[in-house]
Amino acid sequence: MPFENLQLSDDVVAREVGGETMLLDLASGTYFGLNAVGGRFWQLLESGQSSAEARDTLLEEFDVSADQLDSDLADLIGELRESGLVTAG
Amino acid sequence: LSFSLIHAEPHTPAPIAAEPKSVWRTEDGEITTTFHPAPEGFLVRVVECADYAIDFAARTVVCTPWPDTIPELVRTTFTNQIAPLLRTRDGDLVLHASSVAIDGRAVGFFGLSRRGKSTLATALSCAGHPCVTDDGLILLRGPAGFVAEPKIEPLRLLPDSEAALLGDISLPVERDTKARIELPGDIVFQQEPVPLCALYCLEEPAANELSIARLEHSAAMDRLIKQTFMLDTGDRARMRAHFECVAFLAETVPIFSLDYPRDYGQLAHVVDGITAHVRKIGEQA
Repeated sequence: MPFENLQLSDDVVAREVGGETMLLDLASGTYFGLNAVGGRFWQLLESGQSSAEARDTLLEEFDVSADQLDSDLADLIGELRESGLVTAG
Repeated sequence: LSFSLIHAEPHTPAPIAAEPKSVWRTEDGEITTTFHPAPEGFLVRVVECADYAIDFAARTVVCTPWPDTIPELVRTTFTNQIAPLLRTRDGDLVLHASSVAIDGRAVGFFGLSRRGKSTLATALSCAGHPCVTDDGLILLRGPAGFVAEPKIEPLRLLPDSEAALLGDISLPVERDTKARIELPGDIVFQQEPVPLCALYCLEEPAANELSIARLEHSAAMDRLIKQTFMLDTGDRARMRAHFECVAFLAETVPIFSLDYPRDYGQLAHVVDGITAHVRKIGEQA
Protein backbone atom coordinates (compact mmCIF):
# COMPACT_ATOMS: atom_id res chain seq x y z
CA MET A 1 0.00 0.00 0.00
CA PRO A 2 1.25 3.55 -0.60
CA PHE A 3 2.50 5.41 2.45
CA GLU A 4 2.31 9.17 2.53
CA ASN A 5 5.08 11.17 4.11
CA LEU A 6 4.40 12.09 7.70
CA GLN A 7 5.53 15.07 9.72
CA LEU A 8 5.84 14.52 13.46
CA SER A 9 4.34 17.22 15.62
CA ASP A 10 6.91 19.38 17.44
CA ASP A 11 4.59 19.24 20.45
CA VAL A 12 5.11 15.54 21.09
CA VAL A 13 7.54 14.07 23.59
CA ALA A 14 8.27 10.35 23.33
CA ARG A 15 9.57 8.18 26.15
CA GLU A 16 10.23 4.47 26.18
CA VAL A 17 9.01 2.80 29.34
CA GLY A 18 9.66 -0.88 29.79
CA GLY A 19 9.66 -1.65 26.08
CA GLU A 20 6.60 0.43 25.34
CA THR A 21 6.56 3.94 23.96
CA MET A 22 4.56 6.65 25.66
CA LEU A 23 3.79 9.91 23.87
CA LEU A 24 2.89 13.17 25.54
CA ASP A 25 1.21 15.85 23.44
CA LEU A 26 2.34 19.08 25.06
CA ALA A 27 -0.30 21.05 23.20
CA SER A 28 -3.26 19.14 24.56
CA GLY A 29 -1.72 17.56 27.65
CA THR A 30 -2.88 14.13 26.56
CA TYR A 31 -0.93 10.89 26.59
CA PHE A 32 -0.76 7.97 24.22
CA GLY A 33 0.71 4.51 24.55
CA LEU A 34 2.23 2.65 21.62
CA ASN A 35 2.97 -1.05 21.50
CA ALA A 36 6.33 -2.42 20.40
CA VAL A 37 5.61 -2.09 16.68
CA GLY A 38 4.00 1.32 17.01
CA GLY A 39 6.82 2.55 19.21
CA ARG A 40 9.46 1.36 16.77
CA PHE A 41 7.55 3.01 13.91
CA TRP A 42 7.59 6.30 15.81
CA GLN A 43 11.28 5.90 16.59
CA LEU A 44 12.08 5.31 12.91
CA LEU A 45 10.10 8.37 11.86
CA GLU A 46 11.97 10.39 14.47
CA SER A 47 15.25 9.15 13.04
CA GLY A 48 14.32 10.60 9.68
CA GLN A 49 12.93 7.62 7.82
CA SER A 50 9.91 8.15 5.65
CA SER A 51 6.81 6.17 6.54
CA ALA A 52 7.45 3.82 3.59
CA GLU A 53 11.05 3.25 4.70
CA ALA A 54 9.92 2.70 8.27
CA ARG A 55 7.35 0.18 7.07
CA ASP A 56 10.07 -1.77 5.23
CA THR A 57 12.31 -1.71 8.30
CA LEU A 58 9.49 -3.05 10.47
CA LEU A 59 8.85 -5.81 7.98
CA GLU A 60 12.47 -6.90 8.41
CA GLU A 61 12.51 -6.59 12.19
CA PHE A 62 9.19 -8.15 13.17
CA ASP A 63 7.70 -11.53 12.40
CA VAL A 64 4.62 -10.20 10.65
CA SER A 65 3.11 -10.52 7.19
CA ALA A 66 3.17 -7.52 4.88
CA ASP A 67 -0.61 -7.45 4.71
CA GLN A 68 -0.98 -7.51 8.49
CA LEU A 69 1.68 -4.85 8.98
CA ASP A 70 0.16 -2.56 6.35
CA SER A 71 -3.24 -2.93 7.95
CA ASP A 72 -1.88 -2.22 11.44
CA LEU A 73 0.13 0.78 10.25
CA ALA A 74 -2.86 2.21 8.42
CA ASP A 75 -4.84 2.06 11.65
CA LEU A 76 -1.97 3.55 13.64
CA ILE A 77 -1.35 6.40 11.21
CA GLY A 78 -5.05 7.15 11.19
CA GLU A 79 -5.09 7.41 14.97
CA LEU A 80 -1.92 9.49 15.06
CA ARG A 81 -3.31 11.89 12.46
CA GLU A 82 -6.66 12.12 14.18
CA SER A 83 -4.91 13.00 17.43
CA GLY A 84 -2.75 15.61 15.73
CA LEU A 85 0.48 13.81 16.55
CA VAL A 86 1.45 13.61 12.90
CA THR A 87 0.42 15.47 9.78
CA ALA A 88 0.80 14.64 6.11
CA GLY A 89 3.91 16.39 4.93
CA LEU B 1 5.68 24.28 51.49
CA SER B 2 7.42 27.52 50.58
CA PHE B 3 4.26 29.47 49.77
CA SER B 4 2.62 31.75 52.33
CA LEU B 5 -1.09 31.27 52.91
CA ILE B 6 -2.99 34.51 53.44
CA HIS B 7 -6.55 34.34 54.72
CA ALA B 8 -9.01 36.89 53.34
CA GLU B 9 -12.49 37.55 54.68
CA PRO B 10 -15.24 35.29 53.29
CA HIS B 11 -16.76 36.74 50.14
CA THR B 12 -19.49 35.81 47.68
CA PRO B 13 -17.66 34.47 44.62
CA ALA B 14 -17.76 36.68 41.54
CA PRO B 15 -17.80 35.30 38.01
CA ILE B 16 -14.30 34.73 36.66
CA ALA B 17 -13.65 36.29 33.27
CA ALA B 18 -10.80 34.00 32.23
CA GLU B 19 -11.89 30.61 30.89
CA PRO B 20 -10.58 27.73 32.99
CA LYS B 21 -7.50 26.02 31.63
CA SER B 22 -8.54 22.84 33.34
CA VAL B 23 -11.46 21.50 35.32
CA TRP B 24 -11.76 18.74 37.89
CA ARG B 25 -14.98 16.79 38.00
CA THR B 26 -16.46 13.98 40.02
CA GLU B 27 -17.07 10.63 38.36
CA ASP B 28 -20.62 11.90 37.77
CA GLY B 29 -19.33 14.90 35.84
CA GLU B 30 -20.02 17.49 38.51
CA ILE B 31 -17.47 20.30 38.50
CA THR B 32 -15.53 20.49 41.75
CA THR B 33 -12.57 22.72 40.91
CA THR B 34 -11.67 25.10 38.09
CA PHE B 35 -8.25 26.53 37.26
CA HIS B 36 -8.14 30.00 35.70
CA PRO B 37 -4.99 31.70 34.42
CA ALA B 38 -4.24 34.99 36.15
CA PRO B 39 -1.50 37.55 35.42
CA GLU B 40 0.46 36.54 38.47
CA GLY B 41 -0.31 32.83 38.41
CA PHE B 42 -3.60 31.04 38.84
CA LEU B 43 -6.98 31.51 40.42
CA VAL B 44 -8.25 28.16 41.66
CA ARG B 45 -11.94 27.99 42.47
CA VAL B 46 -13.01 25.09 44.66
CA VAL B 47 -16.78 25.05 44.24
CA GLU B 48 -18.82 25.70 47.39
CA CYS B 49 -15.63 26.21 49.34
CA ALA B 50 -13.09 28.92 48.49
CA ASP B 51 -11.12 30.79 45.85
CA TYR B 52 -7.34 30.50 46.00
CA ALA B 53 -5.33 33.20 44.24
CA ILE B 54 -1.84 31.88 43.60
CA ASP B 55 0.98 34.33 42.95
CA PHE B 56 4.04 32.45 41.76
CA ALA B 57 6.42 35.42 41.94
CA ALA B 58 5.40 36.47 45.43
CA ARG B 59 4.91 32.81 46.42
CA THR B 60 1.66 33.59 48.16
CA VAL B 61 -1.78 32.01 48.15
CA VAL B 62 -4.67 34.26 49.10
CA CYS B 63 -7.60 32.17 50.29
CA THR B 64 -11.05 33.75 50.07
CA PRO B 65 -13.65 31.37 51.51
CA TRP B 66 -17.15 31.38 50.13
CA PRO B 67 -19.69 32.59 52.69
CA ASP B 68 -20.68 30.07 55.35
CA THR B 69 -17.93 27.60 54.44
CA ILE B 70 -16.67 25.85 57.52
CA PRO B 71 -12.97 26.59 58.22
CA GLU B 72 -12.23 22.86 58.43
CA LEU B 73 -13.23 22.39 54.77
CA VAL B 74 -11.12 25.34 53.65
CA ARG B 75 -8.13 23.99 55.53
CA THR B 76 -8.59 20.48 54.15
CA THR B 77 -8.94 21.78 50.61
CA PHE B 78 -5.75 23.74 50.91
CA THR B 79 -3.85 20.81 52.39
CA ASN B 80 -5.12 18.15 50.00
CA GLN B 81 -5.57 20.07 46.75
CA ILE B 82 -3.74 23.38 46.63
CA ALA B 83 -0.57 22.48 48.51
CA PRO B 84 0.06 19.33 46.39
CA LEU B 85 -0.36 21.40 43.23
CA LEU B 86 2.22 23.88 44.46
CA ARG B 87 4.59 21.06 45.40
CA THR B 88 4.17 19.63 41.92
CA ARG B 89 5.00 22.97 40.36
CA ASP B 90 8.17 23.05 42.42
CA GLY B 91 9.19 19.74 40.87
CA ASP B 92 7.91 17.14 43.32
CA LEU B 93 5.56 14.36 42.32
CA VAL B 94 2.30 14.17 44.25
CA LEU B 95 -0.15 11.32 43.83
CA HIS B 96 -3.79 11.09 44.82
CA ALA B 97 -2.78 8.32 47.18
CA SER B 98 -2.70 7.17 50.76
CA SER B 99 0.35 5.39 52.10
CA VAL B 100 1.68 3.35 54.99
CA ALA B 101 5.12 2.02 55.81
CA ILE B 102 5.47 -1.76 56.03
CA ASP B 103 8.78 -3.03 57.38
CA GLY B 104 10.38 0.36 56.74
CA ARG B 105 9.24 0.72 53.13
CA ALA B 106 6.35 2.78 51.86
CA VAL B 107 3.47 1.42 49.83
CA GLY B 108 0.92 3.70 48.24
CA PHE B 109 -2.73 3.21 47.33
CA PHE B 110 -3.91 5.48 44.54
CA GLY B 111 -7.09 5.89 42.55
CA LEU B 112 -10.28 7.84 42.21
CA SER B 113 -12.12 9.31 45.16
CA ARG B 114 -14.07 6.87 47.29
CA ARG B 115 -12.20 3.82 46.07
CA GLY B 116 -10.95 3.11 49.61
CA LYS B 117 -7.57 4.84 49.86
CA SER B 118 -8.08 6.28 53.33
CA THR B 119 -9.86 3.18 54.58
CA LEU B 120 -6.98 0.93 53.57
CA ALA B 121 -4.35 3.24 55.03
CA THR B 122 -6.24 3.45 58.31
CA ALA B 123 -6.85 -0.29 58.46
CA LEU B 124 -3.18 -1.00 57.83
CA SER B 125 -2.20 1.63 60.41
CA CYS B 126 -4.52 0.00 62.93
CA ALA B 127 -2.62 -3.24 62.20
CA GLY B 128 0.62 -1.56 63.27
CA HIS B 129 2.01 -0.12 60.06
CA PRO B 130 2.89 3.58 60.43
CA CYS B 131 0.76 5.96 58.39
CA VAL B 132 2.68 8.01 55.79
CA THR B 133 -0.34 9.97 54.55
CA ASP B 134 -4.03 9.48 53.94
CA ASP B 135 -4.04 11.72 50.85
CA GLY B 136 -1.60 13.57 48.64
CA LEU B 137 1.40 11.25 48.67
CA ILE B 138 4.54 13.32 48.09
CA LEU B 139 7.27 11.39 46.26
CA LEU B 140 10.81 12.68 46.13
CA ARG B 141 12.92 11.38 43.27
CA GLY B 142 16.34 9.95 43.96
CA PRO B 143 18.92 8.32 41.70
CA ALA B 144 17.53 4.81 42.15
CA GLY B 145 13.90 5.37 42.93
CA PHE B 146 11.51 7.40 45.03
CA VAL B 147 11.17 8.28 48.68
CA ALA B 148 7.79 8.93 50.30
CA GLU B 149 7.62 12.02 52.44
CA PRO B 150 5.37 11.59 55.47
CA LYS B 151 2.58 14.07 56.02
CA ILE B 152 1.57 14.06 59.63
CA GLU B 153 -2.06 15.07 59.45
CA PRO B 154 -5.18 13.72 61.09
CA LEU B 155 -6.75 10.96 59.04
CA ARG B 156 -10.03 11.63 57.29
CA LEU B 157 -12.66 8.95 56.79
CA LEU B 158 -16.18 8.58 55.57
CA PRO B 159 -18.60 7.73 58.37
CA ASP B 160 -19.05 4.05 57.46
CA SER B 161 -15.30 3.41 57.38
CA GLU B 162 -14.89 5.36 60.58
CA ALA B 163 -17.49 3.30 62.38
CA ALA B 164 -16.14 -0.01 61.09
CA LEU B 165 -12.49 0.73 61.81
CA LEU B 166 -12.61 2.80 64.91
CA GLY B 167 -15.88 2.01 66.61
CA ASP B 168 -17.31 4.95 68.50
CA ILE B 169 -14.08 6.65 69.46
CA SER B 170 -14.68 9.60 67.16
CA LEU B 171 -17.43 12.14 66.83
CA PRO B 172 -20.82 10.54 66.13
CA VAL B 173 -21.87 13.20 63.64
CA GLU B 174 -24.39 12.48 60.89
CA ARG B 175 -22.72 13.31 57.59
CA ASP B 176 -21.94 11.96 54.12
CA THR B 177 -18.54 13.54 53.73
CA LYS B 178 -15.15 12.81 55.17
CA ALA B 179 -14.19 14.26 58.51
CA ARG B 180 -11.00 14.36 60.47
CA ILE B 181 -10.98 11.78 63.18
CA GLU B 182 -9.33 11.24 66.50
CA LEU B 183 -7.14 8.18 66.41
CA PRO B 184 -6.48 5.47 68.93
CA GLY B 185 -3.19 5.94 70.68
CA ASP B 186 -1.62 2.88 69.11
CA ILE B 187 -1.75 4.27 65.58
CA VAL B 188 1.60 5.77 64.72
CA PHE B 189 2.67 8.09 61.97
CA GLN B 190 5.80 7.61 59.96
CA GLN B 191 8.21 10.33 61.04
CA GLU B 192 11.02 10.03 58.51
CA PRO B 193 10.94 9.69 54.72
CA VAL B 194 10.89 6.06 53.59
CA PRO B 195 11.78 4.39 50.27
CA LEU B 196 8.75 3.63 48.11
CA CYS B 197 8.58 -0.07 47.26
CA ALA B 198 5.19 -0.50 45.53
CA LEU B 199 2.05 1.27 44.38
CA TYR B 200 -1.42 -0.22 44.20
CA CYS B 201 -4.13 1.24 41.97
CA LEU B 202 -7.55 0.79 43.52
CA GLU B 203 -9.82 -0.42 40.75
CA GLU B 204 -13.56 -0.10 40.50
CA PRO B 205 -14.87 -2.67 42.99
CA ALA B 206 -15.81 -5.93 41.29
CA ALA B 207 -13.92 -8.72 43.02
CA ASN B 208 -15.29 -11.08 45.64
CA GLU B 209 -11.84 -11.70 47.03
CA LEU B 210 -8.51 -9.93 47.21
CA SER B 211 -7.08 -9.57 43.72
CA ILE B 212 -3.62 -8.16 42.95
CA ALA B 213 -2.08 -8.11 39.47
CA ARG B 214 1.06 -6.44 38.15
CA LEU B 215 0.29 -3.71 35.62
CA GLU B 216 2.08 -3.37 32.32
CA HIS B 217 4.07 -0.16 32.00
CA SER B 218 1.62 1.54 29.67
CA ALA B 219 -1.34 0.69 31.90
CA ALA B 220 0.60 1.85 34.93
CA MET B 221 1.56 5.11 33.22
CA ASP B 222 -2.01 5.72 32.17
CA ARG B 223 -3.29 5.31 35.71
CA LEU B 224 -0.47 7.31 37.28
CA ILE B 225 -0.89 10.23 34.91
CA LYS B 226 -4.56 10.47 35.81
CA GLN B 227 -3.84 10.44 39.52
CA THR B 228 -0.95 12.88 39.74
CA PHE B 229 -1.36 16.53 40.51
CA MET B 230 -0.40 19.01 37.77
CA LEU B 231 -1.25 22.68 38.04
CA ASP B 232 -0.31 24.31 34.76
CA THR B 233 -0.90 22.15 31.72
CA GLY B 234 0.26 25.04 29.54
CA ASP B 235 3.76 25.06 30.99
CA ARG B 236 5.59 22.82 28.53
CA ALA B 237 8.87 22.56 30.38
CA ARG B 238 7.09 21.45 33.53
CA MET B 239 4.84 19.08 31.62
CA ARG B 240 7.89 17.49 30.02
CA ALA B 241 9.62 17.13 33.38
CA HIS B 242 6.44 15.75 34.95
CA PHE B 243 6.07 13.20 32.15
CA GLU B 244 9.67 12.11 32.57
CA CYS B 245 9.22 11.80 36.34
CA VAL B 246 6.08 9.66 36.02
CA ALA B 247 7.83 7.46 33.45
CA PHE B 248 10.73 6.98 35.86
CA LEU B 249 8.26 6.06 38.57
CA ALA B 250 6.62 3.46 36.33
CA GLU B 251 10.04 2.03 35.50
CA THR B 252 11.47 1.86 38.98
CA VAL B 253 8.52 0.99 41.21
CA PRO B 254 6.29 -2.07 40.72
CA ILE B 255 2.69 -0.99 40.21
CA PHE B 256 -0.26 -3.30 40.76
CA SER B 257 -3.98 -3.19 40.25
CA LEU B 258 -5.78 -3.96 43.49
CA ASP B 259 -9.36 -5.00 43.99
CA TYR B 260 -11.01 -6.46 47.05
CA PRO B 261 -14.51 -6.88 48.44
CA ARG B 262 -15.70 -3.64 50.00
CA ASP B 263 -16.96 -5.55 52.99
CA TYR B 264 -15.71 -4.36 56.34
CA GLY B 265 -16.06 -7.87 57.69
CA GLN B 266 -13.30 -8.97 55.32
CA LEU B 267 -11.03 -5.99 55.82
CA ALA B 268 -8.70 -7.78 58.23
CA HIS B 269 -8.19 -10.51 55.63
CA VAL B 270 -7.48 -7.85 53.00
CA VAL B 271 -4.95 -6.18 55.28
CA ASP B 272 -3.20 -9.51 55.86
CA GLY B 273 -3.14 -10.23 52.13
CA ILE B 274 -1.70 -6.84 51.21
CA THR B 275 0.90 -7.08 53.98
CA ALA B 276 1.98 -10.52 52.76
CA HIS B 277 2.17 -9.24 49.19
CA VAL B 278 4.35 -6.29 50.18
CA ARG B 279 6.67 -8.58 52.14
CA LYS B 280 6.98 -10.89 49.16
CA ILE B 281 8.02 -7.92 47.01
CA GLY B 282 10.62 -7.11 49.67
CA GLU B 283 12.00 -10.63 49.57
CA GLN B 284 12.29 -10.49 45.78
CA ALA B 285 14.00 -7.08 45.76
